[in-house]
Amino acid sequence: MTGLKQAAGLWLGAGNRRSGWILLALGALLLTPRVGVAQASPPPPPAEAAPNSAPPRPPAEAAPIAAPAAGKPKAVAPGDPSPMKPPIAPAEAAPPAEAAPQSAPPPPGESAPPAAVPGAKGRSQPKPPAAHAPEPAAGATDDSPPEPQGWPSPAGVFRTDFMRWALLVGLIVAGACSYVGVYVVLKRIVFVGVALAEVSSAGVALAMLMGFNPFLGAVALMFVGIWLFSVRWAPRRVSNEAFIGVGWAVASALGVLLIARNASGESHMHDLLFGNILTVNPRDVMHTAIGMAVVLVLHALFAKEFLFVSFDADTAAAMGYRARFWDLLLNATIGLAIAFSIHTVGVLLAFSALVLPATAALLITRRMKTAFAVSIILGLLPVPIGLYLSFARDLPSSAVIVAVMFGFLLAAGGISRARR
Amino acid sequence: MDTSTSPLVQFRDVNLGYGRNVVLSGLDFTLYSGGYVGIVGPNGAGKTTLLRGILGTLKPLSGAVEYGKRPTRFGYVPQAQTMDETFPLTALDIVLMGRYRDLGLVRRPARDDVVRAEAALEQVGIADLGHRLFREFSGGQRQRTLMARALASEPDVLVLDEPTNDMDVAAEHATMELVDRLHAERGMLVLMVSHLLNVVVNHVHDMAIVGAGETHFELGSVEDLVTPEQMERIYGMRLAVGAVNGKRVVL
Repeated sequence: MTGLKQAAGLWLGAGNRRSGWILLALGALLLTPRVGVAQASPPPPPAEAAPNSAPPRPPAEAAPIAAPAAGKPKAVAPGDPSPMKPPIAPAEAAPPAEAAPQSAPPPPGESAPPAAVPGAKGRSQPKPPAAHAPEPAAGATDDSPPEPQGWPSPAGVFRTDFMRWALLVGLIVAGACSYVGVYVVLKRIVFVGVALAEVSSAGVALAMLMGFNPFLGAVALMFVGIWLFSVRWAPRRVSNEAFIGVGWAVASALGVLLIARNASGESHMHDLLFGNILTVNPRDVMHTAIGMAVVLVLHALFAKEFLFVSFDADTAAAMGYRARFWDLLLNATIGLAIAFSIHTVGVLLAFSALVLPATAALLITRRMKTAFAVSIILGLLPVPIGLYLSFARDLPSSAVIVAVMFGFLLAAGGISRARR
Repeated sequence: MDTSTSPLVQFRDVNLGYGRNVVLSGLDFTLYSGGYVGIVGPNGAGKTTLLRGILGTLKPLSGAVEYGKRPTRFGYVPQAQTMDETFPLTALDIVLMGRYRDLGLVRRPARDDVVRAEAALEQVGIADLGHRLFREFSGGQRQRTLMARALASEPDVLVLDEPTNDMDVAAEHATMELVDRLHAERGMLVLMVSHLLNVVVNHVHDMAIVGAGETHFELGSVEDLVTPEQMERIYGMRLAVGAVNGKRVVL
């Protein structure tokens, strides 16, 4: 262990041993078999209380694995007796309480209980079954090789529909957010990003309460937020940052209040804050893809205007640019990226994708173009890695993805220090 | 002041300020092409407000600002120390921003724009630094980069905001020599804001003095304005005006 720590520390550069410890702790967290899930997991049926190693899965188990009943995986609320993990998950050395659901075959002739989602621990699935529910992927795992003891194969993990949708939406969100995030970090408006994320989530809550499209709610309130945060309310007395803080607090409280009025409130709250990337459906993915495409097209068209007003708004204005308009448009694209992320992945992952990859990229790059490219790569890579790890170790997906992003950030910090 | 050339900027009874707060009132003057004007005055007197009024980024509270050419092309050189160092931009990246106005929307800089940007870098004497990061430059190199950006925009008016702030004497001298040379070679109107009176009086031809009083403003030649009486009126203290080695000195 000491050697490992030293190796990590050395890799991160001299004088950065603390980073080595953090990385190792992060790795240990991911590699350690989960403990807390057992509390939320249902007790195994006595007859199926499995020993540490799960028995080979019976063929009948394979059919319902990949296809949750409604095409979206059904997460489970605390105390929900549904199993926490689709049987495709590896049989891991785990306490019987964990192993049992994995090894529990459905009774002959009955459909298996809906596959629950690893990482969706403690969440309910408030969304109605989608009409586009894919057919149960009966053959998806029929001819799969026997589950390995330990880590599942990545191909197997991403064979399930819900993991594929999660991967797709995660890549879309991470790609777009990590791109616009470079501006967020460079313009020093990280706090605006947080506040806009809260405002957008309040919009989602409002939409859910009023019964209209959550995307519209997020986008509508996001525009209100952009306007509110761009006004200089009392420039000579109070900094604008204070008003952004006020906006963040009020939006957070508003979200809580709106959710409290919602019949299925608490579960929505959890989804909004921490996201539920594993429960996205194709329609969510399509909405998110369209929203992000708009954002990226605007950036492709107006890259030089955005760069100019971000770097030197005064000179841009002196040269005849409508600097305020371009700045507002840039902020609007950032807000759009957040708004379109909130509903699918939640505040935590959306905000993390906005800040962590860009920060890492700016630490190790020396050109703007490279910073954008590296930020996108450091935003995209943690998605499959995090999803895989969360699946394999039954951890909350968004948190694991953020942990992987943080790992990349630590590595970037080490590289940056080593270069100095 | 020399009025033989065409008027570029005309202020007609202009009041400038923010909200209800009038900073400068009754401004009535004309700036001509080919001029070399220093805008001086004590801190807080309204130099930056006047500059913003000339650039058109601050709308007048009343009166009218007219431009001899439409659009009048301003090449603005901000204070180098106000630039954000976190942007990983090279000198060439920054100078290319001077070409953006001519590119219009959507289009990206082409080879011709890069050639012009490199020529601007050469003109300010840092042709070899084009691919180095701006944030790694000294104060003088940053100032030159920003000047090159202004030149790359092919301006009618070169506007410099405190171009020698935070510079040592050698860098200050080199920067002012460069500005003098650019004015002589290009024949454009040069406006320079500075609180360093001794620097300004030895380079510019005319001075716009923004006084300590609420609305005091005067525009005239250096010879007319740089006198002990005028200095006392503007700065509210007795100042000696003399010459050392052929240079004007205000003490």
